[in-house]
Amino acid sequence: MEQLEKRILAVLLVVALFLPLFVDDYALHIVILACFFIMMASSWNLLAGYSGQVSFAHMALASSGAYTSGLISVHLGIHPVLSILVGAVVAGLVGLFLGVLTLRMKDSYLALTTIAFAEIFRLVISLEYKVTNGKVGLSVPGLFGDITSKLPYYYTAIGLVVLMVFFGIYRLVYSNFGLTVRSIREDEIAASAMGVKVVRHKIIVFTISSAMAGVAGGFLAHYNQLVSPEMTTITQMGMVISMAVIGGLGTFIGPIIGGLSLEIIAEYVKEFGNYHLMIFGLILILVLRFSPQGIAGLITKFHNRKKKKVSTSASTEKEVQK
Amino acid sequence: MDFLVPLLAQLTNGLIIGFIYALMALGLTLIFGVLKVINFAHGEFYMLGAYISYIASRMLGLHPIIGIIAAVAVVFIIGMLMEKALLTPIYEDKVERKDEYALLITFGLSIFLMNGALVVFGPYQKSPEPLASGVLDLGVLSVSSGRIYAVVLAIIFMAATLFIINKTWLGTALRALSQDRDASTIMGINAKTLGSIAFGLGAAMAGAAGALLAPVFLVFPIMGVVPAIKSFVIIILGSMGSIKGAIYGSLLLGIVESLGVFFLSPSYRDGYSFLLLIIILLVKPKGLFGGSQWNN
Repeated sequence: MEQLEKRILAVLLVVALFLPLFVDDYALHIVILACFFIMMASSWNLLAGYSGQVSFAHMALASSGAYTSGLISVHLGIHPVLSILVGAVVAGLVGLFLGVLTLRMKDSYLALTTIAFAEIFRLVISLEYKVTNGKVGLSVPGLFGDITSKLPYYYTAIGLVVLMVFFGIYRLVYSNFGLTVRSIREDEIAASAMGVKVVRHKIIVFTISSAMAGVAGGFLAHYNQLVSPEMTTITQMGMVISMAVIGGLGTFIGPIIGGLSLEIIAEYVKEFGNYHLMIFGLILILVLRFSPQGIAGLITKFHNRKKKKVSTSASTEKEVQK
Repeated sequence: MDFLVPLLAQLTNGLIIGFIYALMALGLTLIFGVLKVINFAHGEFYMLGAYISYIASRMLGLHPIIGIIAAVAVVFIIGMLMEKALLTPIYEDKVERKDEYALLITFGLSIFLMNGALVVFGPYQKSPEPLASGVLDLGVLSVSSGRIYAVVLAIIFMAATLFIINKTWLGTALRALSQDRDASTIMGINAKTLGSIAFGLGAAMAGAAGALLAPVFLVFPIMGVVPAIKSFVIIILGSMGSIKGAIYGSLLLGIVESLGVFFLSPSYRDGYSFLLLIIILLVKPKGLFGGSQWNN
């Protein structure tokens, strides 16, 4: 599977690198948004898929990073590159706070608290219009100043995905730390009996994934040059969760495929009306109910079957030779 | 005295809203008690109840009371069907991580219903026929009689549920299930059917709350999000699965909100619940009513 994963990712990356030669700005815009969602879905998957903690505040955390970065760059005149990092730190700290507050208890407490946090966060930023400019949204400077071309943003988005997801999350998941975290998801009691500090590991994962959401949110803010409370709604969170689950929860490649394909589908369905979220909700339910491994699971199944066919035919050949 | 009257008015309002929250939270706690599942689509059952009462009273021209009863009945059936369709794999050991599955699938249901309503009804705010118009004068303060009717009906619904839980065979079976699923199955209780009934009942209570509050807060697709979050806070506040906790927690939340509106700022009405949640998680994370025993 790991070999297959690497091959698919390499193909995607090569296509992404040469894509701007063939398509227009609108297509690039969609890919940039897809990159944002890939970062969100992958970091959410790190949390939910690998460590088994379902959080509904991922979008709110991204938006906390976005607002922090936006406000700093507007008021202090700091370059967005730095302010995005500050935003990530703030998002990480908020995640740490939520984690310390809830992760001692059962999983459902995290889900309940984060969903409440997300809504209240949205309420606060919509109401504090003196600071955040309310529902209209805060305009922030672009990452590359006033450039109208999408190309630099496009390559930055690809670069961020490579850096954060292909290297960061991949390394994390397949490291000792990742193994420990997965053991917690499989069996918390057994893991703690083996000497794993369960709560501490959960909190660390939650903080890392929050900070990643902060980076993604900050990038999107300085790409759109606007931060608005719209990003924090439950339905947007539903979009991220659909991407991760439909792609394949707990698989590395799932959220990447899910994020990319669902964003593209969403853009094209939007032309006919606001059906995409209803459709995604339905697919989300169906995937969970009937094929919990999602698209990644289907790919593996298909791949294994093919391999089996090859190997069985090879063995029959051998028998014939005997 | 000038200071007291508006405070009293706010407190009355808080209590009124508290009773409606209680109806919703009771449904959530009922589902959690029997199925050990937190229903993240609870707010959408609330929304469905509101839309059904709207359809009944405005489009079909029925009496508002009939609209509310229709909402309860239809949401009960929808809830049962959803439980049968989506949650059965949990008890048949077909899923590996049950909590996670239940969380995500009810959340998926919530996204589906919310956006489905958006597609079918559009994003516009609608208002069903109110139960009563006019204002009830209580001496120092006056309350709109529509709200009074809503509270009275909410209390009747709650009393009916408590009666079912505490006094009937069905309730005894449900309580047994909440204590020990396997043991009660051995005793001949049909856990599957009763699980569906419990989920239907819980959903119907959210539907009832939605139908009752629809004339006050208007009907629109995402109307269920905030009330659902409040009932999440309430069941943490009053200990998950505790019926007493759900009722007292709701009243407490209603009062805290009205005090917050009075002393701090009215625009943050929905924010105080989160403050309360943080305090409870820091001080008494298991909630005010201790363990998860269901029959207290």
